[in-house]
Amino acid sequence: MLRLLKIELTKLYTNRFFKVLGALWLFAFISIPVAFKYFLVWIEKNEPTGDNQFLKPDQWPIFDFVDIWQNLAYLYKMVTIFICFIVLASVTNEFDYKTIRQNVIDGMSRREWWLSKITFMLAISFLATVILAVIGLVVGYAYSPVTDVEYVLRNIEFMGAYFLQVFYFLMFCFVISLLIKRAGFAFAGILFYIYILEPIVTVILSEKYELTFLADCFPIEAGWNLIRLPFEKYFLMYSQDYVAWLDLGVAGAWLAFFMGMSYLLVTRRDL
Amino acid sequence: MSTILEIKGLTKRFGRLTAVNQLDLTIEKGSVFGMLGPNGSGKTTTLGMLLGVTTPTAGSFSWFGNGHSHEMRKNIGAILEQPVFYPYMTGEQNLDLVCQIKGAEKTRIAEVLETVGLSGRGKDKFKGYSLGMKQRLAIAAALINDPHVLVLDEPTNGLDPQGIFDIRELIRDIATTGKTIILASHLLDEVQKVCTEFCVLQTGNLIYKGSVEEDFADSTTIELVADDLSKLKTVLGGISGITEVEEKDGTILVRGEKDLTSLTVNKVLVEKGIVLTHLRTLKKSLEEQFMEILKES
Repeated sequence: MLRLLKIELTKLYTNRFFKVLGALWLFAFISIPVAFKYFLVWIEKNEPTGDNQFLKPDQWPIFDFVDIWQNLAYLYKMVTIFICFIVLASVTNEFDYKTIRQNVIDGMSRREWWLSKITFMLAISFLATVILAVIGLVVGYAYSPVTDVEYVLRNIEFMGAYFLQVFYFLMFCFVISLLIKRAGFAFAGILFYIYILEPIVTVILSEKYELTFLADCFPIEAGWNLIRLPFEKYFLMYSQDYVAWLDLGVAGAWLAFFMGMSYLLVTRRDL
Repeated sequence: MSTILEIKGLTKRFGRLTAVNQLDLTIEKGSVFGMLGPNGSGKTTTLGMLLGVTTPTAGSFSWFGNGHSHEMRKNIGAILEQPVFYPYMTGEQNLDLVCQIKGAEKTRIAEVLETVGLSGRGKDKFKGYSLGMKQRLAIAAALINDPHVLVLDEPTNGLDPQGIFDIRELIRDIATTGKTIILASHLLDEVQKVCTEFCVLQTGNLIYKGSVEEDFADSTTIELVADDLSKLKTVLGGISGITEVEEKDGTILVRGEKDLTSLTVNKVLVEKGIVLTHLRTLKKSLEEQFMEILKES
């Protein structure tokens, strides 16, 4: 496993494009809590909400313990896109350069090739989770009025959900890249699907036909649903503040499908 | 001699097209084996199956008398079609990656760069290499794990004459170290110059297999001209060892068995009182032979 991860990392660290993407990802990763706090202050300054303190965004306990884990995990879904690009480019490159073929000729089995990509995706998902946990602790201890261990660790399961979510989207990109093989088309296809096709279909399903569960079963929706929108509770509305088994089940099923599909695509096709 | 590679009934169909049809072949250790055939004859498809990138429709093959697996490919150095490397990496970084895949020692990187004459360019990016340098790097990568077998597919394709010469020298040098080399090529004289044994493929079928030495180097054609061509023809027809007499553009072409020499022919002619105005021994052209094989099939 370690040998395969090393092989994959050798392919990545020698490439300037991947290094830049990685650096952008880290930068975005670390600057989000600061940026978001200032964003809330900015909203309050420009759109004063009056005396009702529940409606003052800069007073929301966003970074207080108990709430912080879900809030951070939810906010950080937007930076996953950077590492998604790394996976997309690294996989389509291998087809473009025909290096996947040469790797196999040189003595990698197709299973090993698949595993080297999977190991990298697991490793970077793990890294993201660890950094996020550290950021959570630092920011939490800085802002939170309560720092009892009991509170600090409550809702920590959102870190697990975050790990799963990052891996889930990397796997999604992996499968699409294997299917389409061309960087430009894969990139356009993924963006079109995530931001146009699936939102339209799911909105129609849930709003017009009230088939909310069916809409939740679409792959991107299922991925997002691992960490549900937490902020509604600050408007005195209900929001799901736990990781639901049903959401885990749906995402788990898709993840299993992505794993199986990618394995078949790598091992069964002529290269 | 032991067998390096044994192929039995290997077949690959792409839809209705049969790219390789029931191929049977055995390659012995230490030989330089040429796979000859025009473009599209199934050479690369065959090698692709032998190297695990193309799944055979039917048939089997066995490397080193031991079946086939990705572990075995670590002991095979192979290039298919064109040199394939990560363009953004340097030559050394690319070889380092191949080392990691094959489990070779990193000290080999400098050694193989030296062997192919790329020592000074190891730190340059692959995308900046000329075609000849890319081809050399590919051979370096193929040599990195000190393999038992080298598989080279059109190694001189697209090179300039100097490049072609250098690569052929390199292949011959490698052959003297006792490695088995499988060389696919559509270039006839390349196979003649480099190989000891060869086979000919056409539209996926094996149509000929033999030894380069026996089939080409020693077969004799003698070109003769005399004043009286018809008398010359009659006399030549009576000489033992001559298998074919042909008149072509005022010249008589004689083809004969291996031990036929211009000396023996001339002796007989002198005895019969025929004076030649022209006598020349031709090596039978491989191209001619090749075309004959293709026509016969």
